[in-house]
Amino acid sequence: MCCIMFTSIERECSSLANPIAIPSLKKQHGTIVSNLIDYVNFSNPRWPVFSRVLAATFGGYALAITSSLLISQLLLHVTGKYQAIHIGLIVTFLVYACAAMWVFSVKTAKKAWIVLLNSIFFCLAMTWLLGKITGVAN
Amino acid sequence: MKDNFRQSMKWFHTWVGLIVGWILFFMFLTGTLGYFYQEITRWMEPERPFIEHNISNEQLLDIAQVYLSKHAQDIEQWDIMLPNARDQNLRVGWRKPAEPGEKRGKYQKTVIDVNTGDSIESRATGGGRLLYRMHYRLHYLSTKISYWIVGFCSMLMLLAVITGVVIHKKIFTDFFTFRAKKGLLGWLDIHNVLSVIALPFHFMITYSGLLFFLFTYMALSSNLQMSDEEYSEMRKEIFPRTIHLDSAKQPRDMLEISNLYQQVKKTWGADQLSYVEVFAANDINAQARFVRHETDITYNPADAVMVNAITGKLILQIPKAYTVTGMIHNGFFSLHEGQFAGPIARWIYFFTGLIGAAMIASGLILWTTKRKPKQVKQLNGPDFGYRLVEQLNIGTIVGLPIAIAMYFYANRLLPLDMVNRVNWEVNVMFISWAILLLYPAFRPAAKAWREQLQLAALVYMTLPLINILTTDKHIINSVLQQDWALFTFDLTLLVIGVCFAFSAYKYKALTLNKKVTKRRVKQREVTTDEGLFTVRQMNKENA
Repeated sequence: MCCIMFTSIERECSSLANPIAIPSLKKQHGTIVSNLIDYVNFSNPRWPVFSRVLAATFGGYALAITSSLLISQLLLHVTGKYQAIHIGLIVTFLVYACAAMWVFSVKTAKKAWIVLLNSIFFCLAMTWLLGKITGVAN
Repeated sequence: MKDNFRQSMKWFHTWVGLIVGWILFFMFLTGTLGYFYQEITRWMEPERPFIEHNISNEQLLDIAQVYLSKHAQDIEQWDIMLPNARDQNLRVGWRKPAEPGEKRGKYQKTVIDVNTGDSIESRATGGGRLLYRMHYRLHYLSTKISYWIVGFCSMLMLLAVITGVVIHKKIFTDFFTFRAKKGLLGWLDIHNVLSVIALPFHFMITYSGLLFFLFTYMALSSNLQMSDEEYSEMRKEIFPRTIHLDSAKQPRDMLEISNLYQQVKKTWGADQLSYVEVFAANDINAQARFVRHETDITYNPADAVMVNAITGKLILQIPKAYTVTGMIHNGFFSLHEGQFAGPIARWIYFFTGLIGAAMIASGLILWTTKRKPKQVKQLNGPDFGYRLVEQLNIGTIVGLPIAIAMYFYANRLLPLDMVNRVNWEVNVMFISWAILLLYPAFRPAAKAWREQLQLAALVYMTLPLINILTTDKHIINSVLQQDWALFTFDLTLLVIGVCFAFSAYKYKALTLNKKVTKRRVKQREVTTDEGLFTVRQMNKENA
């Protein structure tokens, strides 16, 4: 099923190729390997799309979780612990959706990964820092 | 991804919608039926008696209490549900004591015949409940896997809704555009109208659907922040419950429920009652809670009255205290379930749900329509992916409604003493769906569409007939007995059948039309050529 989707996707976005050519590998190895490399050709536009799918699904989920930690840490003294956690949780789906949309709107898959991982790290660091300052450990 | 944000989102919208479109269609359709699950269950249990007019609440309460005193003597907590607009039978329910290995006992509901005072043994059926549970629990899969699949699909739905709004330049003008008979543009307009007309509903239903399993999907976050005790404490804060006393193990005789109801009537100043809950029955702590209307979104402490069942005195209740976020959460739940809805609002819910399903269907059809001209021209015929999508479209959009009708057929036609009857009702549904999914593989698409539409029309229109042949709770008797809920069910089946027949007819006319216009175009070309020829000749003659 997924295969079909991707072959179709590939046709859809043949103009979006993000070429990462690996010619040197191709020359060194025998026919089977080169065939295999041709098959899993990384210059094939399906790979950046696949990478984005992974970024949106798992990276987006991780960002949603970490953002909920940060939000509840920020609201801790405003609303009380349970409500703060609850707000953080309710908002996760929106964060997730925005992250996924954004991943598919940037120029390259690489940029999507970098910014995503940075924001996850930022959320974690801020949560930890705020926890240190306010003295309430999670 | 693409050159600009809107283009990327357009691409994203297409693929997000396609990947799980069919599961979403299934969820929307079965979920929509859930708005009438009580009515469906009632239809599927034809052993139940017709509605009983001219019987007072007090009489009903007496009948129920007599039954309960015989059959549920040792049960501490039970409910009496009075007939209402959705279910015209008197029902009692209680939770059985937990058997070893169970967390809590099974809740058991019994329908009581008002004339004899005895329970009614209905045929084994999953009813409307099983049908609507499929929209979040699927079937055949374990609960956990189902919840995650449904969550994934809902998340993609949410993305489709948001990106759908983003890619729209002129949401308002588009709403009033309809280019019928323009093929692709026509489908695009239909998709737009269906999406925009119920946009708040689509967003609400998707987001609240996700909220239902918030603590499952985001368990990672809540586990990181709370211990298990804190978690259960938090849940109590979000979903507050009314408080009642438990049994003190000191048996006492209770007053009659109908007697207590007099007290409640005075407080309310009206004869309205939806159901009664009795806690610690036949005990010194016995309490009866009379409820006329209770949902979270319309929560009003005055809608429930608690009475001491020994002394008959009113008990002052502590109203449920919602936190702000709890109110939002429960508000979303109530909006999703529509328990507060009266008959009209319920039908509006039903139709918006159908609009949602139709929106998904039109989106899926749009995908194939857009690619059709290019695919048809290919030398080796259309791609496998294209054919698969087309096949799934036919098999789901028309096939699923037929499969649901087969569920009703199975209810009427399977032998009553069959082993695993409940399972087989569902099996029949899924087997027929599988057949209808495979069928388009062996037929040209246009023919498969038409034939399945015709089949759907036939299946829905003959269902009331089968009902007449197999039970006495059919459309004619329900008119005679003025049982309008049952009557409406059969009528709705007929109307759905007529709708399918109409679309089958329209589909045929459309495909025929195309051929006719093609021929006409050819003819016109010939005539213009001839015209030119004669003009030229005339010119020559003139010269």
